[in-house]
Amino acid sequence: MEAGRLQEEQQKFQAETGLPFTFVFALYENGSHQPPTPLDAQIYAQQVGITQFPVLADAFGAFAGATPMTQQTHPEVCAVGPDMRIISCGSGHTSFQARLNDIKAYAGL
Amino acid sequence: MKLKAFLSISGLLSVLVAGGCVVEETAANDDDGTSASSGSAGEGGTAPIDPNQNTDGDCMTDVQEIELGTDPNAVDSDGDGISDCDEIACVSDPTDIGEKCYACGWRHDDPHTIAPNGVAIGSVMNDINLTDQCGDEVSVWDFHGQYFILYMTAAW
Repeated sequence: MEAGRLQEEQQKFQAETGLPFTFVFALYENGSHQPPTPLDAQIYAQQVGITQFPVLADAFGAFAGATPMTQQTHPEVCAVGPDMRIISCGSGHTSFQARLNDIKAYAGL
Repeated sequence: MKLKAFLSISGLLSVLVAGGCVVEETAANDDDGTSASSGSAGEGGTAPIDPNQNTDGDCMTDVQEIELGTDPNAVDSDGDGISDCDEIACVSDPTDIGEKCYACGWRHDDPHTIAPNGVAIGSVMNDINLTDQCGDEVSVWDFHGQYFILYMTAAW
């Protein structure tokens, strides 16, 4: 799935569940397989068309150090609750669907 | 958090998170930049507090500013270059010089009472501060209060 389409998924999920929800992107490599700069995050957001959620330049693997994920594959996806608890994680382009279901379960839906 | 406490206690402002921030006004929240009276106490005297007094002419009365902890005599209480009212509208703390409105429009939340306890599933994750596509350093803890999917990816 194209990352830009996740904005539609975000709106769809919010409408379906009524839960406050967003995606948070963390870019850990730029197009040249190098650690991203803030400019890379800006360019990526523009290219993909992301305007409704943040694209963060994670040049030093900050999120790999804060989650069970390794940033050795892409994408890697974690669901996080409103209490900042890590609900679940996985990898692969369709992994976010499983994470959305995990959020529903966590919210008791 | 003072701002959140103010929002919840006073009921004067409501913040709509999804799709942006909106400040609702009530009759008590005079936004016309004028005060209802001069409000100056006589020398040595104690004048009753005028609930509509708005010394700095912003969107809040002096009473509301005192309740919130902002300076009734200053439009920008924390001196960060963004007015108190603009900070409230973008869900930023007008009393914290280190907290400003995000250029991309994300809201602040600041869950001061939680503590990170690991990286495993079920753990409260560490706060991470990284630069976003608008050039702001964003705290991931500002997404406290909502569910989110952290989508870690490469640009290639």
